[in-house]
Amino acid sequence: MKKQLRIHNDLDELNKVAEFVETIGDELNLSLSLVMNINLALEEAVVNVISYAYPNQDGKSNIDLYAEFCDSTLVFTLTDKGLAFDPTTAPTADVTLSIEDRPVGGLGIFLIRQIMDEVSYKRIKEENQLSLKKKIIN
Amino acid sequence: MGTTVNAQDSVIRVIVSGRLDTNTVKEFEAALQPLLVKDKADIVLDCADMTYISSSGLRLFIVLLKAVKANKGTLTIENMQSDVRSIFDMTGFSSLFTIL
Repeated sequence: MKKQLRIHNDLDELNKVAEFVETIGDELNLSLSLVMNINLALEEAVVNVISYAYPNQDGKSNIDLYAEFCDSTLVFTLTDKGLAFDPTTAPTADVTLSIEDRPVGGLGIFLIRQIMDEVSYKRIKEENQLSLKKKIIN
Repeated sequence: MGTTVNAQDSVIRVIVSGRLDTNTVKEFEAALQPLLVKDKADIVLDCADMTYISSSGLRLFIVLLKAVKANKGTLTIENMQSDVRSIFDMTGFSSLFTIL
């Protein structure tokens, strides 16, 4: 299975990402829990790009999402031409802190790492490529 | 996504429904604003119909809990769906919040 989705760097496009994941979930007969988790990881990754990759831009840029299922592994690749940002090097959130010491944000990348089995990043020809892999166990 | 706030007796009941994602979080944030400054409020978040939460929604749960603690109130979460609960477990929220 191979699928592709192109969206603009606009938060209103998030619904398309959710529909994309749901379609893949239906095709691969994934559980609703897994579909929700994958949807969450992709939302966090896409929101990061939309929020931070294009700080000075007026027009719309594209974000491409590729999905491939092969050897029991679902691989999503997210590409954009925004500012270079490697989420794999972001500090890990400490989820053991008390409410007093907890920062209010910073959980997006943590959730991606928790949900996915492998997260890798490449910067190739002015393009960010984030790869998210999830082993599918039937 | 929908948020309804009902104040009955001394308890403020907030009913959260649908998807709490980066797009819908603004409505939830607006509904919570008056609660962030209430003194000694007893707040219940009824999450029976909340089907999804992303980090932007989780952020507001933390903001609300910090405010409630500072204002010497209480915050209880009720009827959370198991998939959403698993996100609370994953992020350590289950040990921060009172979840019934």
